[in-house]
Amino acid sequence: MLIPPRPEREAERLARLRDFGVLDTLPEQAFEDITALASSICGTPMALISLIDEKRQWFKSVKGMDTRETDRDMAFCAHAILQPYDMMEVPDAQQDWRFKDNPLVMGAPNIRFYAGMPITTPDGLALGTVCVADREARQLTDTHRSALQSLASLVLHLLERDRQHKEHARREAAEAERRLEYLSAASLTGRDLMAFVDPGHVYRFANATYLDYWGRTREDLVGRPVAEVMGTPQYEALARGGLDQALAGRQASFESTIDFPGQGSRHVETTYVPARNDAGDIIGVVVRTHDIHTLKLREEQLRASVSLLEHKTLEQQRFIHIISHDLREPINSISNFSGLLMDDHLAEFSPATLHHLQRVHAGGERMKASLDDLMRFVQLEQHAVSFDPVDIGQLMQQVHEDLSHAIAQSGGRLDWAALPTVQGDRSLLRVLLQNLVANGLKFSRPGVAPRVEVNAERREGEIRLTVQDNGIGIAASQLDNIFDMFKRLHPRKRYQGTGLGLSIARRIAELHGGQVRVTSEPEVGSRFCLILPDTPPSTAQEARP
Amino acid sequence: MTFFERIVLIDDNEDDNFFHGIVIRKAGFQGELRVFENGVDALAFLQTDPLQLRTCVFVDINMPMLDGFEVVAQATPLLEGKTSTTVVMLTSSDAPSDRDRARDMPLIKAFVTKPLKAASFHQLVNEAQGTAPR
Repeated sequence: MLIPPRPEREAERLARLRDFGVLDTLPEQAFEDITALASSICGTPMALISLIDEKRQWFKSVKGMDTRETDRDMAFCAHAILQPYDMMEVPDAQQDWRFKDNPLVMGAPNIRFYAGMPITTPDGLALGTVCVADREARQLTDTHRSALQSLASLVLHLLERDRQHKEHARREAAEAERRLEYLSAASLTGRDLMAFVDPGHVYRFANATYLDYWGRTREDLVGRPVAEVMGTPQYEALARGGLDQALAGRQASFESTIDFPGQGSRHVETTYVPARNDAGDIIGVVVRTHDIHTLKLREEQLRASVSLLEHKTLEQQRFIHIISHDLREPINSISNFSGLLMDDHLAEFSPATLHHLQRVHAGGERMKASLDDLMRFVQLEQHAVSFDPVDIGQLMQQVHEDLSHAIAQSGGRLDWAALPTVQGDRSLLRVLLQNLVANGLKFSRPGVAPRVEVNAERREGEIRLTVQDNGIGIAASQLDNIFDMFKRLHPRKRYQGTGLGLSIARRIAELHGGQVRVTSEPEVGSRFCLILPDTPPSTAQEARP
Repeated sequence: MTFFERIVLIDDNEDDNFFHGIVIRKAGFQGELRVFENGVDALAFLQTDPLQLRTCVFVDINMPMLDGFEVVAQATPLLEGKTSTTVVMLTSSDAPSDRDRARDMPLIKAFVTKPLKAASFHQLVNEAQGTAPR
């Protein structure tokens, strides 16, 4: 007897066979029908679907024999699979040296005739055969051969389909299991309170948080009416309507304060969502409660702080207003009457008296200027900025007129190039430019006539107006301070001013969504740069649809 | 000589009234000068006055009891249509909100920031002269 050699790619073949998952499965009608057909077409008493495993042949279906498997070494089919695309025929086993001493030939079932068609995958792996056998020596006709070929191909088709079904089912099961895991993890361990309530307003599920808030065990809650757990008054007031609305198909959501036995009184947001089955019928309500207690408390605290702040700000503004008014009166008296004295009674004073009087008058004027600037600064905070097209060139003409006295007195000049039209508040921008230009005129070097130049350039998304002077400049160490309120870098005797001008300029720039920057070189000059956004902030918002 | 025959100052600040009186006199005014330190007294005077004299009334805004706007509001039924009387706000406030409010009251002909100067007084006189019926 010839032991059947192993085919090429045997390991791959075995792996593929196992992958089909067919070995040792129960008999199935489709395969029984195939062996019945093979037997009746070929007129043989025996027909089998044999699959060649590592050490055995196993029969998916067997007709005319009463065994499910045999040893591989004695299997005719183990020879047949060596030629995956050809039928193997043994007309008379007793005359064939390979089989004549085979136990299946010498004893039961006493095989003399065998014909097997390999069951071969599209990539050439023969898994087994569809075969017929007889106890008589005989020949097959071409019709028989063709039928066996078709049946072998049909078996492969059935196996493949089964494999795909099993694969699909396995994937579905894994997916379903994973989804269930996610769902239970989400609902059980979430920080929100989750419960499922059936159409009779009875709990069917609750997560750990839900149980914790209500101070109950799962056994103590599931199966009980909502009214019993919440208490009838709370149920009637807070839950019943929402549950009924959700059961009628409309989601309900509202905020309420609930007294939880496990947590005390909490501000919560509860959503009742209709739960439907695959057919779309409502089978209950998913209740999701979100604890917003802390959030609410913070919101209230914040609101209280804001209103306190608003109150303080108002109070402060009133205070400044009153102070400024009350201060203005005595200051005006000082200025007015000292001025009157100097105008009308000059001849009566000694030089020393006049000198003292001049100091009193100058002090009064200075105090008045400080107050005016201070008031202007405070009013900026209350001023609603209006955004209109402002022709900066035209504005410079006005600034030039406003400052004509200072320009003439200093012997300096103010020049400007072609300037653009910007979006902004005309009166505020006028104050801003006036402050910057006045600053340039004021801080001149001794013996050098001040010269202030205003230029503009448009860059990506912004307009830059520069005010350049030829004055004393600012030391690098002082550049950060110059915009501070009441900051003065020089003795008053040399340069007059309140120290508020640049603070006001910067505040106005900020109100326009812009900024003022400065670069300077001591004893050469300073360059102030007003940067305005091309589209001011508030109008940009309005322009959006 | 000035066009006005009478000046009324309504201001709670004694110093300002005194100073403005001097300024007005120095500007050449020689007629009757009446000073009230609150709106109540001023309104009582206007109610009994036959309002025949060409009068300029200067009203401060910040005053106790009645503020300047309230004084003007209460005087409006009396002075409406009387071309003989000119009402001017004379105040230390230059708040835009006060200016806007003054603009909305037809009786108020001008808004002057303290202190009153001879030049601005002359301007008021010229304006009143220009609009006065011949």
